[in-house]
Amino acid sequence: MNIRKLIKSLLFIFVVVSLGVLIYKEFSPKNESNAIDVTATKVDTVAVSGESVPVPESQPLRKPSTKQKEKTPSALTEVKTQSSKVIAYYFHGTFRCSTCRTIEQYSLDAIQTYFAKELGNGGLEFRPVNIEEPENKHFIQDYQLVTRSLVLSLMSDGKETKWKNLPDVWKLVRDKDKFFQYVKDEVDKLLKET
Amino acid sequence: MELFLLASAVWLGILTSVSPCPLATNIAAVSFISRRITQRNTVFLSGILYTLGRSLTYIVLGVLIVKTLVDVPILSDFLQRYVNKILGVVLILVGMVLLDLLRIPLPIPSVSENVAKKLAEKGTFGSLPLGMLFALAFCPVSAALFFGGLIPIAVKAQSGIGLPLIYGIGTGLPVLLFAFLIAAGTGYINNLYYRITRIEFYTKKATGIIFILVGVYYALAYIFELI
Repeated sequence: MNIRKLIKSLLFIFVVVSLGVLIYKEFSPKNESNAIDVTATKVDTVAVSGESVPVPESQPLRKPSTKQKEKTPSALTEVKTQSSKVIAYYFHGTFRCSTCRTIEQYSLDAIQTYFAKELGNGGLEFRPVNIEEPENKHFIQDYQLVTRSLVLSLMSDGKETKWKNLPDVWKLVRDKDKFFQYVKDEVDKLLKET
Repeated sequence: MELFLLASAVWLGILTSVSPCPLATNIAAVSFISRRITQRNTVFLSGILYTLGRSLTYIVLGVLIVKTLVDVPILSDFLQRYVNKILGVVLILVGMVLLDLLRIPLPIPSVSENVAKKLAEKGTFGSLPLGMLFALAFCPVSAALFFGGLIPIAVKAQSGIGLPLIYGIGTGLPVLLFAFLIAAGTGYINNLYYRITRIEFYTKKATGIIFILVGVYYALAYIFELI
């Protein structure tokens, strides 16, 4: 009987703490401004290095991104001279499922395999974005996102002229070769327009 | 053409139910449905109610999207963001009720206690709200299949009820099948070896424990963001 009471109390405490954390995370204004600060720097690092959000789950991305880092100085200078470029956004939430991680990894791998040159000269960029962070919320409307998505955006003279969501990443995630080909074809199409 | 649409809807539904991300809720659903493990008819009825509950949620969403101008991305974002967070707490509380750690306080005890007792005894009708709730818990894969796969078809066909209904049945089919197989299997063994009451005592406890574990998992993943 005592064990029952103990379990009951523990579960109640867990429920109350959960609700407390949930409410705190939703409504705490301090927390929200913190999130903005953190993500503002995150966006900076992303823009510079193309590196994923620095959380443990992005670890598989670390290795390739260091490769990119070496190239960034030239990339940055070229961005200024280049009038148009393609940005490949990968949109994810705070909770990362395994299929979503695969999609992100495949997208990055495909882009690095086929477009190393464009990545190097700044004509193409890979940006993972967490849409659950307040300042990224506008992407949901901008690109009509219903789930984790890979979106290609064509920028010319600092303005977006065209974008395309690649919904088939979800269908092709079980077939690596087709997935790579799909990403390659779509990126190629948009790169031709730069 | 019509048949093709219906087949697509069922197939999308089945894909949703077997995708890895709703696995935790599916385990909870199977254990809840097959709780009355020795009564095959009850299990079957419970499974049908669970499936109907899922369909009901999808129909409501389908009608909202097809008939009104609800913004799909915002709806999808809202559901993925909040339902999963609340689901953990709800599952823990339901698990506690199943384990008799918690009693549901009734507003008018004298009148409804009897009714509630009967309902609890049967336990079957709980499957309907359970299905409705679990259907609302979208994860990335199921959101891609529902909002990205089914909804475009439903909008094109102007079918806010039919296609979501079929899709819902698809999402419930594997769970239903699994629960029924378990019930059929254990029912058979049960006749040979065990006493009915004993088994059901344990299956009810197991269901409660599974609910609490799944609830804790959801809370850790979505509220504390640890998993």
